[in-house]
Amino acid sequence: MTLAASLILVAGLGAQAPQRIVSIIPAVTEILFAIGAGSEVVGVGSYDQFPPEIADLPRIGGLIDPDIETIIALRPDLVVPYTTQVDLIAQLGRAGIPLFHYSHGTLPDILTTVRQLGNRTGRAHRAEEVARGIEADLAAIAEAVSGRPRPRTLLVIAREPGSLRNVFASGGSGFQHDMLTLAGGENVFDGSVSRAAQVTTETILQAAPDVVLEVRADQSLSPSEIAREVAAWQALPSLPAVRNSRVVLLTGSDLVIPGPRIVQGAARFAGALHPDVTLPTR
Amino acid sequence: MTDRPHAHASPAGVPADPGRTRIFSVRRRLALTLSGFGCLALVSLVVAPLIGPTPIALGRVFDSAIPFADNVDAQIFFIARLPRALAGMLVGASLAVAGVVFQALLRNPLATPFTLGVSAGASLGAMLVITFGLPMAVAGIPAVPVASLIGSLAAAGVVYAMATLRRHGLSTTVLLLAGVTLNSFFSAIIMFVQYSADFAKTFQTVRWLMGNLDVSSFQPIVAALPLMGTAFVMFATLPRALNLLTLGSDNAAARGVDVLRTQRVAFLSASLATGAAVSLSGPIGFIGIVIPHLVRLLVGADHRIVMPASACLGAAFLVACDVVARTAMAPVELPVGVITALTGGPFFLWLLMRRP
Amino acid sequence: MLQATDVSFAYGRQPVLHAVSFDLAGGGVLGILGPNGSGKTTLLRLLGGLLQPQSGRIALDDQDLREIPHATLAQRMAMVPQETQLAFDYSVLEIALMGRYPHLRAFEVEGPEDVALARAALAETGTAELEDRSFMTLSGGEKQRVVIASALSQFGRRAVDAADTEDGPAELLLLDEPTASLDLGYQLDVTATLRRLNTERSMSMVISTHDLNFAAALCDRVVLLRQGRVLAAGPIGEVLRPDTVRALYDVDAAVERHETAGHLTVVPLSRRGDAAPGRRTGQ
Repeated sequence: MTLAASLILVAGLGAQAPQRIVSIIPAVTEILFAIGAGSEVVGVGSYDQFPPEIADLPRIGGLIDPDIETIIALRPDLVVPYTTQVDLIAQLGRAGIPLFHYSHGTLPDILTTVRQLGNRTGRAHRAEEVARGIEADLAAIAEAVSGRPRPRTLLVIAREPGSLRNVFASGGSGFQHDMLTLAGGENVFDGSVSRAAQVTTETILQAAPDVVLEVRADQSLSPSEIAREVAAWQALPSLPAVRNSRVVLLTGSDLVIPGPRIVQGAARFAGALHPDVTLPTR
Repeated sequence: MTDRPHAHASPAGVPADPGRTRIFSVRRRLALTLSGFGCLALVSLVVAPLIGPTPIALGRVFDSAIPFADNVDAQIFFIARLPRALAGMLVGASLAVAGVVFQALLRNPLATPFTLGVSAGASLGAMLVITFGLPMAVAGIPAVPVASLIGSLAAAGVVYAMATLRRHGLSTTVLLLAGVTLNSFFSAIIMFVQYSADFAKTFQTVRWLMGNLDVSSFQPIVAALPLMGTAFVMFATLPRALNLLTLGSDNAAARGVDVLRTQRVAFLSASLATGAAVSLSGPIGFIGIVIPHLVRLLVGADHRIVMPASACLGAAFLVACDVVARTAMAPVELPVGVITALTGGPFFLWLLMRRP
Repeated sequence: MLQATDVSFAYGRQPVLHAVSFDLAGGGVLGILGPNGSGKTTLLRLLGGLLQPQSGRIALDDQDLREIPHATLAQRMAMVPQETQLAFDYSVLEIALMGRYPHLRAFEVEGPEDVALARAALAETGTAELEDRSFMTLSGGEKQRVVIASALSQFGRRAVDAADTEDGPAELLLLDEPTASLDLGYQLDVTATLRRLNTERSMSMVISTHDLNFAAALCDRVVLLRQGRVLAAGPIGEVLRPDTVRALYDVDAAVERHETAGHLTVVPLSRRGDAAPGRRTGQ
């Protein structure tokens, strides 16, 4: 154990560890369970689905509609809201409930959050292990694809079903962009678009991606529906990705939730970008 | 003031008209107006595909020696820009004329193509598909436009049924009230479903509601064309009767207008054009109210001139707005509905202020 | 030329007219008199073919109104509603040209002859100078005369159409409270315009009004309507009497011939049952 980790451990033990935690954001819920603080979680967000242990926990609303009454009724001694929930944060502050402010960021930010939550919940040691595990796994993925040609990739995070309309793509920042880079791809909008943005057909044609990688949280899509969505790209037959049949649609919450399962997501990105590479398994 | 039926003295303040034999010809005014506004629409259609964030060489666009698949310039021109400009023309023309017709039918200058719930119905249909992924694709047409078209026609049907149910004839008052009520009702359902849907889908619905012309192929245009064509054929039968309807239905009927039939055709055609336009582009606001008023200001209120002029000006205006939408912040696209409202809103206010 | 036989009408379950019958001879001016709510406007809309009677029959030159196509009817009969509110503004000439509607085929545009006829109609109502003005900027009296001109241009016949019928069909003008919202000067303007149309073109008219003096100035026959029933009908000199005025309005009035005006005048004296003349109470 390094000195830094020891210090964190000591600092974590020094604070009053919360016993009743309310987590509103799916990523935070996953991190809390991953670092062993799941037993203290007494309420979770309405959209939280993972891990399975949360199935019976009370739901307290989501990002835009948190239920302040239910939250207070759960008598939490730690609530983790999203930083944009200013009304909720003000109300909880007035109620004297301790808060941990969270917001999505980059891939390294996930590790920072894991460690900070570890400190805050008195599980700094376990959190450090989890963070290092994630770091090691991500490094292994990066290692596996290193030296390979990096396909120029269009990372689509939303569009209208069945057609190439209202296409939202990942720009050159954020954890999904980081996952793409780590998995051995080059974001076509790196440098030109920051964060996620709606892009035009013209922009896509001009970008001429080698690979189109689409991610959807919704796991209910059947293989035939996925095939139909992929076929929608035939509207732009000239894209190298379409000509070379390199349009991939991946579904699953591990692709869109910046929590510990991001390792799985990054591995799936790598598998899609470099199908011939053998990825390390754990 | 005494009656002077045979004296040709002018009333105070109005100069006597020396050109008593001045030529008044609707045909000539129509030709003049149409050539002006038509040119505008044509110019917008020709120029819009030449403008964009990516420089393209026209020589390469039309160079048949380069295979289309390898010709990015041609692809940008024929896949990204030309269909957009065409869609903009059709949607702009449809919404502008539908606005004229609804305003005449309801005898209300504040009516828009969306007043009678047609767009709320379309939005509900689109939202249900986006949220629940209903399999409503028909003959290669994606589910969202199909569902929004069904939603718009269903809304029009409900409003029409309510306006005709209890009376012999069509009550425009009931039409207006039923439409406004249905609008709020559908909006409530939309909000309710959005509230229980996840964030990404809510966001997509909201984005659809802002309107978008990036059709990325000719296929959606071809699908919408028969509906819009039908609506425009019906529009063509309306102008003179609509002129008379603006004098009130008693005046119109007394001059030989079949008022009920005119109202029916007006309602159906305007609803059809609106439904088709909204299914092609999402609800794009302001065109249906700004363009008709602007045209009336320029050419008077005769519907034989107002309707074709509105079609041309609506087309040109929307195509121009769309050029701004796709270039202003390129490569990121702005919602075209934002541009129409940002330019149309202040302009409309200026119009209101300067009118006596 | 116009004949109403036992005409009854109800809006939904609300009866408005009961078995109303009368006759209008060609060239005559018939006044329909009665208090507010007596059914005058409804009767006029029935006569204009805008409503269909639930029972009874209305005939124009012995032909049931229901059997006459819209456009044909509009070439023989024109109607001027009490008030014309425009949803959008037109020029005076455009309003007058709208009267040409029943003469134009689908997609046909008014030709020079139609424009000439519309201008002639404007001249007949003394509004020719206004043709370029916007309708909405006109005064009430000007508006009323322009709308009458628009109605008149329905009767205008182009040379090519005139060959179809020999004598020209009946010209019948229906006017609903044509002076109700006008001040004294404009009332005189409209009255004179209508009288001239009757005398010079022998145009038949049916005029609904609650203004007894206006009716006396213009009408040769009247129908008195009270609560949807005909109280009395006949030549104005016979029907317009103090007792009928009392029955109609609950008002004691002096009905005398005015020598300068040359027609009957009605001067209300008191609400029925009041002791003092000229004093009117709420009821």
